[in-house]
Amino acid sequence: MRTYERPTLTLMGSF
Amino acid sequence: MTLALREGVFLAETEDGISLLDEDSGQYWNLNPTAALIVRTLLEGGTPEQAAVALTKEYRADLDSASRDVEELLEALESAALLHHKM
Repeated sequence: MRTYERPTLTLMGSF
Repeated sequence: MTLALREGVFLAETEDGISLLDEDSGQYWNLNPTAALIVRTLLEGGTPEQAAVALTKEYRADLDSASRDVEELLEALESAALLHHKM
C-alpha cells in the first residue's frame, strides 16, 4: 500500500 | 458513455505519471501518479466509481475521499477541455 497523494492536474507550460 | 481524450490531445506515460499535450492550445499538462491511475481507468472504459475503487486498492485512501477526488479531477480535466464524453 502506497501513501495517498490527492490527484492533481498541473499546467506545466506551453509550446 | 465513456470518456476519451479530445482530438488533438496526446498522452505520454512518464516517470511522474502522465503528460498530456494539447496541440490545439499549445499547452501541456502533468497528472501525478494518482491522477494518472484515474485517467488510465477511465480511458480503458472504467466508471468513476471503478476509478475510485482502483485508488483504494493501490493507495491508503478511503472510498469516500477517493470518490470525491475522482469527481474533482474529472471536473478539472473537462474544464481544461482535455477529456470529453464519447457517446
